[in-house]
Amino acid sequence: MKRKLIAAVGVAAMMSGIAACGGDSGNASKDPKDRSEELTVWLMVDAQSTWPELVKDVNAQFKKKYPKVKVNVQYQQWADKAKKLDTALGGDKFPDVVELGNTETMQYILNGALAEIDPKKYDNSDTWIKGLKDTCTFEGKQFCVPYYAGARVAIYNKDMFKAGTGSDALPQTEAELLTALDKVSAEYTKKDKRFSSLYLPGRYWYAAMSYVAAYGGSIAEYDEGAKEWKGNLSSAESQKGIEHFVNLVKKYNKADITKDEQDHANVMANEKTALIYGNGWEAGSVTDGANNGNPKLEGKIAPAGMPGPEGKALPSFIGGSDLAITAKSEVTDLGQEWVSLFTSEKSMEVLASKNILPNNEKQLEPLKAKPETAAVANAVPDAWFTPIAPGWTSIEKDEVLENMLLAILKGTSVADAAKKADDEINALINK
Amino acid sequence: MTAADTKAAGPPPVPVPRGPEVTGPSSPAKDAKPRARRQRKKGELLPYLLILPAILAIAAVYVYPLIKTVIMSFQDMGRAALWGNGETPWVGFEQFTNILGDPEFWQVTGRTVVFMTICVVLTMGIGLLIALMMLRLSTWVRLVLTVALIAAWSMPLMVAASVFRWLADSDYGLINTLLADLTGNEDWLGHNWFLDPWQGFGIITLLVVWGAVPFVVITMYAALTQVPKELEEAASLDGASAFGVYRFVTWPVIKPVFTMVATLSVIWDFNVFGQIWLLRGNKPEPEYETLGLYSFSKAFESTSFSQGSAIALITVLMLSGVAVYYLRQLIKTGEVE
Repeated sequence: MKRKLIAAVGVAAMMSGIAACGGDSGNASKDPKDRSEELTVWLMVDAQSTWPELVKDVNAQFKKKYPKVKVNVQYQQWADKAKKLDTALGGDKFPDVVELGNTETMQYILNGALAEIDPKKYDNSDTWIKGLKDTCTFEGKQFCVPYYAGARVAIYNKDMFKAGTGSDALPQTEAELLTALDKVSAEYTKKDKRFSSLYLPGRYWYAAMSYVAAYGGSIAEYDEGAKEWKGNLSSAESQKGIEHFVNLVKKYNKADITKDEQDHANVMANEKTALIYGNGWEAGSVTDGANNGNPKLEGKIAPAGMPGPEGKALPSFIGGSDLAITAKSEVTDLGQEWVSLFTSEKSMEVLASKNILPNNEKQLEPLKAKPETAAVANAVPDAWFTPIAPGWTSIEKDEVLENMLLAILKGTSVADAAKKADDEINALINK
Repeated sequence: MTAADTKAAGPPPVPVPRGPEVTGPSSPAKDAKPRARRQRKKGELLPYLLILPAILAIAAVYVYPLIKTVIMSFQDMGRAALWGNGETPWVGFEQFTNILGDPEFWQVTGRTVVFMTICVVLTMGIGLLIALMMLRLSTWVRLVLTVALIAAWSMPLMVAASVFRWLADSDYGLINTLLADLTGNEDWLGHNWFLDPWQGFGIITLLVVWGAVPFVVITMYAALTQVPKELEEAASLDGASAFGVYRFVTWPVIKPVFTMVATLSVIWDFNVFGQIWLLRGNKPEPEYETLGLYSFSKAFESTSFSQGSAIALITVLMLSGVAVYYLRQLIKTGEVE
């Protein structure tokens, strides 16, 4: 099996050599009406499931200008996208435009896989959300375009909190929240022993690192003197955060504590939990019947700011996607044009209407007041972000953080597990 | 051609003493050999021409990548080089010395060997027992059993792995529910089988053995039907116990087949990848890594393609001993001439 895979990479690498000879650079000056190339776009499945009409509309606009260019949109899964892209970029069937998770971009930029772009060609580029823009920037140059943002918030079942505490609002401080969770727990575990008042799976590293950020810790720090990144999980602050997270998992999660957050919306839809810490739009997934959700919960599921330790809100990880044009693409100008249509103010309006955070502050502003998005939109300014380091993707792919959390849940001390994770991070992060 | 024709064509045969049943026609056939050979020569190229496309396809699919893998293992290939944005430096044997000097590699190798041994012993043992049982079953029970075995055998790995994953799921799994009902201990609900790698590998072994047993049973049953009944009867008439009959009559007949199937199992179970990968939800923890997964994670997760290739090559070398043994068995039993 693995030999074949490695072999496939080998073959792919050979083919790239052949393909590189076939470039045709004279097309850019042609009349748009006469262009007849193909443009391959890799988008993630979210676009297919949640905003397909936007893709359709953008393709129609593009078609008007370039009637003969064939736009080929392919939808990818998050789980294997990175491996697939690595292999594709080594071959001759690579995408021209690709959606990248914002934690993934840096490694591609550093390895010369992405083409430089000119921000002036894109709407609202002067107010792009900083957390996203930073992931596209290297040495002052811009290599991708922010697409949308997301932040994690509390998503809770109003009825369950009402039954437990008498109020259907989520408490504002963590101390109050924990008391409320105890009450909800007492109420519902009477019937179902496996009910989790807070469903917080142990491998959910985005949540764990939010607690690390809450105590002032971090995953890694850049050492200006040595000019390199260094793991920082064994610092006292980081350890406090990890400890806090693990204690919450052990105390409130009555389901399998070793899972990750993949199916937490589903757990909530099955009324096995009163509170999850999820992406803003997952409140919708809980009640979406077409997506394994439970329509009976309609109107009972609400997002709210997640209270964190020390009386403050829990700093949320700012997630989201960027769009990039591959350096190898022979139609970079067409790719840029397509991306510019796809991230135009008008397109962002479509995303905002679905409670997805747009890529710029200007269009984010009204969402801060909208009840469905207020919690998420307001979480953006205090958000934390993964280290913008060359080897970050390897750390994610190697699951250093997940394995650390799992080790602690299995009984390793926080100090030992954090030390081991730091060593692993140090070995990967600068490469 | 008739005997008369050949007799006319060649010189008269030298009379040699021969058995009573070998008479006239056999000796002309001997004389005809040179001519027949000449005839064959004409068409000799044809079979090679016919097999050529297959050989080319195999060369393209196996040989080229194999060469590439060898080359890559002496380089240090990262992403930039893969995408053609950088040079691939030659590092000689560095990848190999790094890997062989890494205690983690030896840990993974040890785990792979132990896991393989347990799987092979269980597969062969259970397979042989079921095959022996099939000899004594009534025809229709044996038919039903064969159909069930083939059904299990033909189930795609993805499906089988999903089934086992759900069976062992800690929150909703059937195994936990059954255990809780049988023992009356509610703690089984929510028991996580993969928290302790020994238990986790227990489930993985179940899946591997379950998938491998049908092939062993069917092959061993076929071998067992070749044991001459009269020999067994004679042995028991001579006073041999059931075990004695098995040990001295049955076993020598089926032994070559058993050895070959066992050798194949060693190769298969050494290379188990999909089962572990799928049962661990595409994210195996380090304590679940066998050599295959280890090489994969080095190549694709840590993006060191050269290290991955080197590990793959070391694995091939380790297995080549087993492969040679297997070929020798094949030649011994006369399937390859």
